[in-house]
Amino acid sequence: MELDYGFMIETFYKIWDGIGVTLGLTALSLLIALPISFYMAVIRLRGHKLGTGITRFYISFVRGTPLVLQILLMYSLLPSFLNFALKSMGSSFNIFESVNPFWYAVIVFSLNTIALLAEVFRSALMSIDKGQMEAGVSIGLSEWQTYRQIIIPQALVVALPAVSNITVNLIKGTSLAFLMTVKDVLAIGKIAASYGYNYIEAYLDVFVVYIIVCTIVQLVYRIAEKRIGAFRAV
Amino acid sequence: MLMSIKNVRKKFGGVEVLKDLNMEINKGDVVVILGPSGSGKTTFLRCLNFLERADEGQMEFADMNIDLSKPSDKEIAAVRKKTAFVFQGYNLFANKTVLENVMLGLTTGRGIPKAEAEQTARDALQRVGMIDRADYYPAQLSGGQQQRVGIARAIAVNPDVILFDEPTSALDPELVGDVLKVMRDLAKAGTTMIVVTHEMKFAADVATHVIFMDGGVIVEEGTSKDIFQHPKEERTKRFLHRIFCTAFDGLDEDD
Repeated sequence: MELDYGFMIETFYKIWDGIGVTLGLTALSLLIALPISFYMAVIRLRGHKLGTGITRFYISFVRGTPLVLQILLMYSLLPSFLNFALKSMGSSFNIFESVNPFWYAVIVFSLNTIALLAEVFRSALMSIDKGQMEAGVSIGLSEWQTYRQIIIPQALVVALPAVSNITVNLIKGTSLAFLMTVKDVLAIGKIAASYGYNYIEAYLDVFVVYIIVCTIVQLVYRIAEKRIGAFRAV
Repeated sequence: MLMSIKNVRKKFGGVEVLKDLNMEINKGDVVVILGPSGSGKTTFLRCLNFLERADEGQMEFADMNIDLSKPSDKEIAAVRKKTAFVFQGYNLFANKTVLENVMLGLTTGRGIPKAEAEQTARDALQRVGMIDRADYYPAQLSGGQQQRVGIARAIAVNPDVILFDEPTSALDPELVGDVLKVMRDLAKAGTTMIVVTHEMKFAADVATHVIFMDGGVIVEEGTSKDIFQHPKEERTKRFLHRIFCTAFDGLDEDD
């Protein structure tokens, strides 16, 4: 087997350029999912009946279906649905040509991440001793002040390893965005390979890019956990 | 009179744990509540700052007349700002240093400027002998040290009354002394305290008023001399007898 090293190096840089799309997709989905999932976790812990029911239904829906299916379904459903909605409002905006599929990908991955993070936050918040809240209100803090200063910072440290996992899985999961014609790391690799059938070289490049990125991200999380969790380490 | 509590009742799932309790506290009083476990003393204490909600009861405190069963948010906040609570399990804020633990009620809780709050907090830590641990996290301290910080956190906000919920019962025996000494010092300095405890010697020495509770009612109350030397009620006598016999078991065998 003969590898075309020249092609491999050249393609590596091309693929590396796609990292912006991959990380952008990951970061945007996480940023959108963080507040919403946290709010869902709080709703469930507070025992709000309707909110809990909706949240649980939503989480079991996301968990019980493959990501590929969610992507394919949303990519078929969402543009048509939006088109229908716009048309019925009398707008002549062409949704099929004007919207970058990147944004559909953001929506799908956000919806997916929300469900995963909501469960992580719920268990993290539950792990904080209720004496912390009692101590907070007993010295004259409001419940919200105690949440912000005491409960949430402690829960975040508990949640961080799981959030790190979810982030890395999300980075890898965004590779499925090529199904929506998003040009991420994997899509660029596939396209480059298809010109001269250098699939092995291109896939090895993609492989290396993912390993580098995921390793760095995990490292960053580990450092963050050490720093914001300093109070636990004795 | 600083605080008056009337007709407090509380049920947990059909079981009446507090049955018509009344209490009056004057400034500088050290009220010690004794009683076997399950007698409702801790629940009673927790009702006073709304960590537990009473089913019935009135509280007169700081120009307020509060229905303990349905206090307004404003009343709850007002009472909590004028009282402080020392927990059996310390409940120090795990993610804050010792100094931050003591400062938080002043800065975030009461909007006192940081510099002033830090000075007050350091003074409080000085009083409990924990100033040299100001930058430690709770996880780095022993139980006794944590509880002294818990007391510093309570006195820093200068409350009208401090509620102590079995402050020494989670501690190793050799650490109890330090915490009790801090509490004795507070009492000497005129701090108003309500203390739920099993420390009989502390009660006998420091209490201005002793309440003996059993089965959700106050069985007997009076000065520490009344209760310890001349108890009238049979239940009080039995309780004291049991406590002191256990304490002196070793001596009995020698006789």
